[in-house]
Amino acid sequence: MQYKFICHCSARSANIASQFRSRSRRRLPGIIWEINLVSTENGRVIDAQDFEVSAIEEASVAETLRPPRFRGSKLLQIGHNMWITRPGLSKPIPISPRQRLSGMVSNGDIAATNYVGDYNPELVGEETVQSEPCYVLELTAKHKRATYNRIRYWISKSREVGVKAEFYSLSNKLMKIANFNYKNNIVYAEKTIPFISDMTIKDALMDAVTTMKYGTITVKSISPNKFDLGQIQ
Amino acid sequence: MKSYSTALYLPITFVITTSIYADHSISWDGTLYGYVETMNVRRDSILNPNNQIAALSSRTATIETRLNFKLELENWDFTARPILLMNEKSNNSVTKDNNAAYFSQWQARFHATDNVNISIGREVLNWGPAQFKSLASPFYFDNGRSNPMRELSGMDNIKIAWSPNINNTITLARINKSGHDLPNDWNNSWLLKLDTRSNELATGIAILRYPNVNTFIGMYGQYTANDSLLLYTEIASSVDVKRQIDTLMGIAWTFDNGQTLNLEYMRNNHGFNSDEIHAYFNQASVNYAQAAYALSHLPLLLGKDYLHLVWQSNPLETYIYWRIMATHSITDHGNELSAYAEYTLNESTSLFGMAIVNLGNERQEFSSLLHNNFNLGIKIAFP
Repeated sequence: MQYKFICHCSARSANIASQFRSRSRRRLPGIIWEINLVSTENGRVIDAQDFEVSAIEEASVAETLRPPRFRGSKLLQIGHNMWITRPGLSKPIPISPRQRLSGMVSNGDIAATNYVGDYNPELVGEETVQSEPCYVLELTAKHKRATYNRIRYWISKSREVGVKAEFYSLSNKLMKIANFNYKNNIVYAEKTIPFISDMTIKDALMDAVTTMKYGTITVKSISPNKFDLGQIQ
Repeated sequence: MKSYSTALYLPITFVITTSIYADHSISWDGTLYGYVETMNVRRDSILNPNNQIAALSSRTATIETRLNFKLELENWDFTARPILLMNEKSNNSVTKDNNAAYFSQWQARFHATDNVNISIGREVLNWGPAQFKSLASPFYFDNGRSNPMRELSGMDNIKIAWSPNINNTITLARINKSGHDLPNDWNNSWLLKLDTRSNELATGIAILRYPNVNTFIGMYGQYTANDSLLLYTEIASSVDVKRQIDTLMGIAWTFDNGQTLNLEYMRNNHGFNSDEIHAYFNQASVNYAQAAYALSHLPLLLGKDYLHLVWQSNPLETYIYWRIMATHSITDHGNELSAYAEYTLNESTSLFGMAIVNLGNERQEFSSLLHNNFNLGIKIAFP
């Protein structure tokens, strides 16, 4: 499962789509955070995992901290290339981007969605989400590699962050609904930037919910060596 | 039985070192493996008639502890992976204990700058996307498949790695000696390696220069064509009698359910053609001495052309993982079928099983020594 910094972008003016692009280009030198993931099916907890994620530019490394049987496993992503490695494995194994889409791991892909890189935004209206006025963006896949054919994305007018998203398949079927909260803040270049604190993903096709809580966030430069396959194990 | 003190020395040093540095993080974990293995040895083997030359064990019971220690200081990382192994091998009425304690890997790594790491230690120097054989690495040609229940042990080296950005790394390493249980073929050699990783492509070239032997050149490349399709290759150029180039080409397709099918073709120009394989077994069949000679000189891969098929579940799934493999020698038409499965009982414990079945006769590579081999075990992670 892998995660990448999510740029939940601003919406100050009518030209929200343009701002969506430009705001997303703002880069941090690197960011490290921890995720606690709990998945339930029919109200029963079926999976609980903790990760530490390091991300820079288009690269990320997610290291499993819990459960014990997966401790030390790492998932490296650089662009669309992905590898998995575990302590004692003979070498990192390349895996396909589609493998992160099946089963329980599929929710990791929502956390990793590259909204700007993979989708073209278009402002389609304004709606209210939980009493909060929002802009609504329609994100259309730029290329076949994008996970979902389209995403409907709600951005708070006042807080300038994404608060909800709906993910649709190629056949235009609603697959998942995600809600985002921002109780974390990170400070960079003397600016305070809201950072996601928790994400709830509901499966539209079955009674399954995954909650991800984000914490221990650090903005700092990360050595490129961390993303070298020869030094990752 | 060897003393375990060697394997415990470094972890204890870690603890002492951490008391000196205030700003540090230390962690450790381990996994206890317990497994039994049965091996159905071929009695009519030409290379090992009546199992009198290799004396392979028909039953083995193993308890193995694999530990991980990690200490991170401001500019230093220390890691160690000690292995404590106890196994009992039985062959008819003879039972033999075989205990060992060693470091499978260890490393002291200094972050000289943001882009440069200097390290010393024992490290598995294996790379490339292929599953059947690791052609691109000179050290682990068979990718650990000769004993799949055991993990690879590292090579002792001093290394400097420079990553100017996330897409490129240049590595220069001095291989001091082979690690715990590897042949000392690479002592005092130099390794230069260049790796690149971009959005869809990953490539690498490794050049190994070792004393009095011609240079080894290994290359790999992989291309993520789309969400489902991965294309890859590994190439090796090395000198046996004369310089030969071996190649492996692979394609992997991932289905909607996350299962993946890999198909690999390998051309092993160092191997024998079908007539040479025939002559090899004929020579070995003359007497025990010839059989022993042939067995001791059995190459890691006997033939020239191979197909390797892997069908596996999504390795990112949390509860069940399985893998089915089939290898066909186009040269001698022999086949090897194998399967591995792991089932999670709880957060710490899983059961695993492995089966290898060789189809063919005593004059075919895969079935020349064994009919089949089965493993069943339990894995407990701690703390």
